[in-house]
Amino acid sequence: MADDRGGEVIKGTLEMIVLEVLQHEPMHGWGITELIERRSQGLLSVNQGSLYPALYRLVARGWVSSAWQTTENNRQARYYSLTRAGRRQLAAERAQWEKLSRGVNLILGGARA
Amino acid sequence: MTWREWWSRVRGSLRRDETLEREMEREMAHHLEMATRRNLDRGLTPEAARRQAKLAFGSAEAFKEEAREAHRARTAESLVSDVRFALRSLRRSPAFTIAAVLTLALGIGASAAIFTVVNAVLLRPLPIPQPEDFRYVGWAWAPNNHIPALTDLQYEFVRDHNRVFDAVAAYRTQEVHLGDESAAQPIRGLRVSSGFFGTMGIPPRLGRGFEANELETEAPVVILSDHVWRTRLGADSGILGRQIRLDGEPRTVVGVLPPEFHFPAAPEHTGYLVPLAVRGNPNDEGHNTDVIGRLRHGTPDAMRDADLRSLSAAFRAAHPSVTDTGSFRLFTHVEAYVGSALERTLWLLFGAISLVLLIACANTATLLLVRAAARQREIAVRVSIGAGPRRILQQLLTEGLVLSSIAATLGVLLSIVALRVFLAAAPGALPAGAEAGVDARVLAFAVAISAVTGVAFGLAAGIPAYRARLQSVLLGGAHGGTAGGRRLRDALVFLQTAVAIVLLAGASLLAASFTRLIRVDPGFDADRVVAVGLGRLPPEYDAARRELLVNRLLERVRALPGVEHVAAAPNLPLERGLNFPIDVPERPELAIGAVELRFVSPGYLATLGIPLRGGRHFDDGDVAGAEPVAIVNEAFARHFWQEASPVGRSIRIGHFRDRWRIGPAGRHETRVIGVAADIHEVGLDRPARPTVLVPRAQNAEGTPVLLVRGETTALPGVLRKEIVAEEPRLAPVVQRLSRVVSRSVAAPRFRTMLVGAFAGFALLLAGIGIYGVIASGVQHRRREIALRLALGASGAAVATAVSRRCLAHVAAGALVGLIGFWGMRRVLTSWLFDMTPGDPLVLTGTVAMLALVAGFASWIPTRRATRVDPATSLRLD
Repeated sequence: MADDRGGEVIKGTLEMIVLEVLQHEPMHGWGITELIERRSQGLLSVNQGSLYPALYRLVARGWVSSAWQTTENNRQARYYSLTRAGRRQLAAERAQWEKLSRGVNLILGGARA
Repeated sequence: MTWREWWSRVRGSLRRDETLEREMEREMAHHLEMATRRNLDRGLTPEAARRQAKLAFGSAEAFKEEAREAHRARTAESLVSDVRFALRSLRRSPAFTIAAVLTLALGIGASAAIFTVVNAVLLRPLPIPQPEDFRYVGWAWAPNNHIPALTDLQYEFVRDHNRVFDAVAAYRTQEVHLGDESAAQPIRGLRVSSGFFGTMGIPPRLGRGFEANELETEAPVVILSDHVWRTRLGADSGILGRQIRLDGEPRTVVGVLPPEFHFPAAPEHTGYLVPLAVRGNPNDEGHNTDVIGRLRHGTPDAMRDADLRSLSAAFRAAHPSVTDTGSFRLFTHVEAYVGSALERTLWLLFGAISLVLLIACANTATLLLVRAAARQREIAVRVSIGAGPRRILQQLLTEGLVLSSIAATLGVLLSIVALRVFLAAAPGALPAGAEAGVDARVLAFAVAISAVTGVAFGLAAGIPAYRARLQSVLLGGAHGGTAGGRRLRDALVFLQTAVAIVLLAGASLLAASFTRLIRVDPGFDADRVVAVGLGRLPPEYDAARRELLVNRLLERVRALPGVEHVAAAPNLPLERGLNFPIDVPERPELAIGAVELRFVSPGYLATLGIPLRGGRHFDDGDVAGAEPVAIVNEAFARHFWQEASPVGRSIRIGHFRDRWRIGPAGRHETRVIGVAADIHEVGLDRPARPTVLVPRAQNAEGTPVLLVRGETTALPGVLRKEIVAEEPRLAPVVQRLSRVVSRSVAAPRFRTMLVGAFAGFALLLAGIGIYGVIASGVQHRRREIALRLALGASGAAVATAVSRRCLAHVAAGALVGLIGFWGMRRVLTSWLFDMTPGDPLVLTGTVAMLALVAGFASWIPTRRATRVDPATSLRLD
């Protein structure tokens, strides 16, 4: 599904990405999907079947909180927002990711060279 | 974590589940709506937009399931995951699980079985409307001397003057042949007075109750039970107003009872109802009228008691000629029909089985403790990776509850089997109508037990772990077990021993007492005598024809080969007979209100093998019209004449305190012609009661039983044939007298058997507990043991070292158990025959038995400990 619009998010990184897109403002599930697609310029698409479980997991760990609010279209939707612990976690994951991706790039780059 | 916190968490997680589902639906709907809107913006038709959105979203159910999983991860501390964890953990150690579950299931099963009986007999309300207001009315001479029945005069007085009841009624049981089916089984029913339906609270289903004039005149009308109406009259809907014949007498059917009609006092006697008019007779002081009443709802007990007292005083004032100085008393069903003996037996058994359950629980707790010690490393690891001690405790608690729930389920199933065995072992142990079955109350009992034991187990296993210095366990290697755990285990051994001793001592005393009881010589020769009950005679037999039939039967049987003696008696020895007041002219102040009076044929004493101590036997000259004669027993003779011979003296049967009362012998004196040896006629454990024999030829009431003395084992079959040949409508019941004797001790045998079985089970469990504790001690100390052995310690020294601590607790437990038993000895005294609860031989035997089991239980593991090769043990770590 939806593969015409890009690759799926790598397992394990979805949560980090969700934390990332939430750091500026609270968003609902649909908004998160759209924002991820837009910011990755369509390279990444989120399988909704894994987005919501990921959101629930983040809530369970206390990194994200949720509340029902009215949308700009006057609908009720659950808005997710980053908690203080979520911000710390995002920083940690970002550092971890940078280390990992540098390592992976070095290896891939080296193999190509 | 407290129980309440834990429960609120469980409840919270359940409630969260519901909200979760609703919120997921809403969130999904919103998402789909937004996706559809975007597709519309891209120019798709509304339908395609919706379809695309749905496709893009994927399977809604898969999403929900995943979301639920995620939610569960959030409530990882919820019940479900803990139960799963507990099940996994229990599956990992099957030996432990099986041992614990079986021990507990047996304990719960046995106690649930006993509780089922207690419930059926003592606790369950009667199946009638508003059972709490239903009472029997009786008479009490003293707090411990009462009877749940009234004289007719007393009944009339209560009926006319009480302010306690909404309705009172008298009833008598009866048995009749229906229609022309005199060969078929008679049906059993009741004669009932006015107020019966008001008291029972159930009106007839068809037709009506009895009218006042029908009751007053004992009119020939009848109300049938649903059962009789269906099975004997084909559920004929036009039955009302028709005539049926009861014992040949025509009666008009005026009503049919509903199927749920239940008469607790005589559940068998609900085949039909006929009117009863009660007319008091000041000379009849026999308490022969059963009276039921429905209390005015909501009357305070104090007012009720005061009213009964004033009613009693008014009765005595109204009837000054009545000599009786007792007062009215109310009886509940249990008091009147279950009887204090059965009630106490059941509570005794329930107490005993509760002790067994206690031991089973202690045993399971011991197992859990041993296991907790072995799991300390696992627990320490889990603590080190972040599980809080609360978390661990909660998990152990869940594990305890899972264990006890499995055991309780198994236990309830077991109890259903146990109940069958219980009831088969004691036919007639329960009063008629008390159907023992598993109901909500029994299930609640099992659930309560399993909850309490489960929490206790969790705490027993969890608290030491909670307190333990886990890091030190990790660093040092789990060898000692925690001190707390060991103390708890010792306490459990102590508890088990103490409780087991109480049970063992009780069971041993009951067994010893029972052995003495069955060794009692009843005073008559039961082994070679066959008793023949004639059952109900066909209706046309009046007293004269009945006696002719009895005499013909006696002749026939006497002529049979192998028959030595034959006699007719009103009832079997050891079964209840008729009582009459008797005095003697020269000592009227010695009068006895209730003497056993037996109408017998000549040859009665010879048949039963009762020796004649003086005077002569009855002979063919002692007939109606001749001088009335009697043979008295030694107890009777001692009471009236002490050492002097009673032969030739006069007695007055039915005479009491200056007046002739209702008596069978008419109003004349009776000459004593002989003295018979005393026999245990009312029970092996009771002394002979004063008894008077009179010849049937001069005086007889009721259908007798035939007693036949002979050699042949074929006798029962031959007798049955002979009797039916004489009167084909008879259905004789033939049994050996030895069986009657054996049946008379059925209650103590039953008691002894059950308490004995419980005690055996308790002893086994205590043995297993001791074994478990010492074996785990040996396991923990194997390095120390090996060192000692390597350094030259003797096997005996090592054995002492490993078992001393546990056996010291066994000894202490035994001592405390004995002291506890001494404190409880009063409970047992009333069950014991010819011995005291402090019987030194029995108590010594009990202690010896326990010592033997404890010795054996500790011998196995210590032997293993001393047999190991020290090098192997030391190398293990």
